[in-house]
Amino acid sequence: MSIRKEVQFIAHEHAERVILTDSFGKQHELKIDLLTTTDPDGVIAQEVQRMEEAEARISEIARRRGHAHPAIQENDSGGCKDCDEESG
Amino acid sequence: MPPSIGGHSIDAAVRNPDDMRRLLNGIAGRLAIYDDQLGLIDGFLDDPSGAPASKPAPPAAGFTVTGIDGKFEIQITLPQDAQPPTVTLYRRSFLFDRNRARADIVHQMQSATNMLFDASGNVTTYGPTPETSLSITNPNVTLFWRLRSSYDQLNWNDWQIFSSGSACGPIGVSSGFLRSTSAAPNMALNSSNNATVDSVDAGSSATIRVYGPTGVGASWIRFDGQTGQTTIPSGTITGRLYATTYWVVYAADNGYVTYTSSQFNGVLTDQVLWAGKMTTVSAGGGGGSSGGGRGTGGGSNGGGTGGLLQP
Repeated sequence: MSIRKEVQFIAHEHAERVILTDSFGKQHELKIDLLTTTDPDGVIAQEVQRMEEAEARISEIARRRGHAHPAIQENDSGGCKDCDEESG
Repeated sequence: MPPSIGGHSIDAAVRNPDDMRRLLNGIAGRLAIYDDQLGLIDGFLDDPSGAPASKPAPPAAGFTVTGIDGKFEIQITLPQDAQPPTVTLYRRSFLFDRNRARADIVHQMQSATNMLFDASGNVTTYGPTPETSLSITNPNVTLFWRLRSSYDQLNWNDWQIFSSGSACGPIGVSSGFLRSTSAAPNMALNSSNNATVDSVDAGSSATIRVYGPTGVGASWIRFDGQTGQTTIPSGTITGRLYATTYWVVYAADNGYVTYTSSQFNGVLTDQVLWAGKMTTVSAGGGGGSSGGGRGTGGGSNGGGTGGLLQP
C-alpha cells in the first residue's frame, strides 16, 4: 500500500503539479503555487496522509466484502509455499 | 465508285506520292481508332491484371477539389475515363498510355497550407486508396491539394497540384464553415458537472479544493450533451488570494488552473474542462462561496445541482 507521486514543474505558472495515485488507481492532483505556498512539502504530505487513510479504509472494507484486487492481495503470499518460506 | 479509304482514293495514291501519304495517314488513323476501342497498345494484352508489372507509373489522373459545408469533396477521373476535349487531342491520345486495359490504380493525396508542401505547410496525407471519390471533413480552412497515382504503390507518377482554370495555376481551396444545422442544438452550452469548488484558509493564503459528490478527495464527473461522462480527479490548488473570485478549469495536460476575471480570456481554450466559478474565503476562513454543478452560490451555476454552468 503506497501512494505514487508524480511531480511536474509548470514553469510558466510558477507552480508544481503533483499527481498522487493510490494503489487502486485513484488520483488526486495538487497544483502548488511555489511563490506563495509557504510549505509545499507539508501540503503534499498532508494530502498523501489523507489518501493513505482513505486507501486503508477502502482496503479493509473491500477485503471484508470479499472483493479481489491486486492492491488488496499485495501483501498476501497467496498460500504459495515458497513465498511463505522466503518470508520466514 | 472507285475504292477509297477515309475519302482518299487508292487510284490517286498509286499515281501521286502526296495522295499516297494522305491515304496511309488515313489508314493509320483508322487502325489507331480500332486499337483504342479494343484496348490494344504495343500488342495484345491478354491478361489485364498482369499489365501493371510492365508499367512503371500510370498516366496522370484528373482531379477536382471542391469545398462545401466544412468538407472537401474530391473527385478523381481515371486516365481511361478522361474525355479529350477536342478530336485532335483524342487522336493524339492514341499514341500514349491511357490505361486502356483498365488495370487497378491507387491514388495518394496530400493537403497543405502552402503550395510548397514542405515541413511548414502542415502536410496531411490521405491514401493510398483506389477510391475515386473522397469526402474529407475539415471546416474553415484553406488548403492546397496534390495527387499522384500508382499501379503497385512503388512507382508513382509526378505530383500534380490542383489548379484552377480561372486562376491559371495552383489555387487553395476553402472548405467553408460547417452549417449551423449540422451541429446539435445548444451543443456549446449543454455541459454540466457534479463538482464542488470551494476553499479553505491555509494560514497565509487560500487553498481551493475541487471534489466530487462524496467529499474532499473524490473525483467528479463532467456530463456532456451526448450523455457522455468524463471522470476528472479531485484537486487542490494552493496559494490563492483571499476573498477573490476565480474561474477554475481543468486540462488533462496541465492540471487545474485558476483565473481571475482579468485573466478570463485564458479560460477560453478548447482543451479545458470547466470546473466552476467560486470566491475564496477571507483570512480566518469566513465568507467565500463555492462553485461547480453542486456549488451553492457566487453565480456559479444557473440551475443548482446538475444545472448549466454559467461563467
